[in-house]
Amino acid sequence: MTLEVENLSVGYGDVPVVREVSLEVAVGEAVCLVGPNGAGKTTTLRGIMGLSRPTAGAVRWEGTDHAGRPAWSRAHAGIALVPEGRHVFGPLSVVENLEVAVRAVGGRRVGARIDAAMDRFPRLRERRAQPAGLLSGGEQQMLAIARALVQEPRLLVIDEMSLGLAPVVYEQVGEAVRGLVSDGLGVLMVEQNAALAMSLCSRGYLMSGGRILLGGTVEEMAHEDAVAHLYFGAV
Amino acid sequence: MDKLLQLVVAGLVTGSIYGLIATGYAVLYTATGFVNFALGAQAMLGGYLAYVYFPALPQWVRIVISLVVGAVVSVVSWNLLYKWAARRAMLAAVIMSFALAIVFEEIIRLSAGGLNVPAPSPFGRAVFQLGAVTISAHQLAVVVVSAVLFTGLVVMLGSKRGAAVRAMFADAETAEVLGIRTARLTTILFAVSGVFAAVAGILAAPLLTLSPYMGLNLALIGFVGAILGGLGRIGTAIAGSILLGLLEAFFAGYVSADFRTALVYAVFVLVLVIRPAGLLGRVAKVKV
Repeated sequence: MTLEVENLSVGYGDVPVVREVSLEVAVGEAVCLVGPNGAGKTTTLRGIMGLSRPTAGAVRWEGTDHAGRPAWSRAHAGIALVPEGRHVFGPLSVVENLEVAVRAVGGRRVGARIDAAMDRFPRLRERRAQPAGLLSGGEQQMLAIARALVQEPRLLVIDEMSLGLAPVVYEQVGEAVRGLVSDGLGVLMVEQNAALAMSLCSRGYLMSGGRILLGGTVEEMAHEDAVAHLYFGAV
Repeated sequence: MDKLLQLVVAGLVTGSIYGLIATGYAVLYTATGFVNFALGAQAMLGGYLAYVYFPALPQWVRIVISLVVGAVVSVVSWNLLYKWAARRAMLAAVIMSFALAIVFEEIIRLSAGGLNVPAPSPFGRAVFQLGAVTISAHQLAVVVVSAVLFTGLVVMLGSKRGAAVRAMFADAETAEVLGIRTARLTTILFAVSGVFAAVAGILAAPLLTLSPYMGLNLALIGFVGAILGGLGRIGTAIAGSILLGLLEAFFAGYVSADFRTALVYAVFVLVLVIRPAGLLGRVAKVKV
């Protein structure tokens, strides 16, 4: 089972932002999409998730092209998103945030799934009845990940996880992600912080100017001049 | 004291009717950022369907027709008209709702005439004496029916199933990407607002008599009620409307009955100047 993005182009109005992006993520591997600010990573992800309508290309997942379908269809097909900036439902309690996610995909065993998520992030159990808007940034990030995991996805898409997260919390969350991948989950990570992303992933793609410049294993990418050039200036 | 109680009853009755319209505003605004000024005309349409058209049918059938058409008109006008305008500019959709209100008004005027039509209450002419307070069966019905609808809606929204709607209110895009079918929920909310508007029309008609032009006033006063409480929350929009009904009744009873409408709009202007988020509400986020 693989996510195959083929020649995806996404734009706002008539202005193309992302052109002919192709990438693949298989179940059981973590893949990162890195690149500097403004490279088109988030737009690519919005195109994949159906939040921005692609002008061309395909988003194939388990044999179905989701490119022209409404955004909700991905979640029902087993793709869950951890959005940039968390986007937890602030007025809803922690438990309600999780319940709503399970019910949205018609999931059974709501209680058991929420229990499992809270075993993974015990902080959430302590805060279960609190409105999500009152949690700290790190706790909200945990909730956003837990909210995706209770949907029991086969592919997890994470947008800019490191943004605004303390290194300690990031390490903790990263550990959870590693565990999930070894359990057989596919992960697509969009990250501005390439070093952090590459420490979690086995393969990666480098984006700049709305196109994919190169892709490969993280070891290969670490030796690419282009990566160093984009991040650290001329070498 | 007797006069006070009598005015409280009058205020609760009109406030409940405003609340039914205000609920529609609040529900649609929180879900989509859209303000539907056609709700008043939809209420008027509901009144005509229940009391003027189909005189041969039994009353309860005409009420059912009124409620069903109310839901359908609301859903169709969103999915066929407002939604497409709103994608470009929300203001265009809002102005379009005014235009649609005028279309409804003219359709009714041409088909049923422009004169006021009296509407007999489906709840009969009985009058109850509770101590010093006189309350008609119709007034009682207005308060009870509205209270049941308000409570039902609030309970539904607060329930586990209602959490999906609250999630959509909080962040529609994230709700959608999590698999919540927000377009479908929005359609349901439009149906609810249409039914509430039709009920407002059915309940208001015996008190006001029916006229094609009653819609604009209902639309604006309901909007003032919603603004008074805060447009972004359903409970406070209802509370604001009831407060407005009470204010209006006290003003009419103790100051001047002739200037009661002027009072409503004076309240509107004052609220917008002093607390645009509503007396009871927080600042509502505008979401498109």
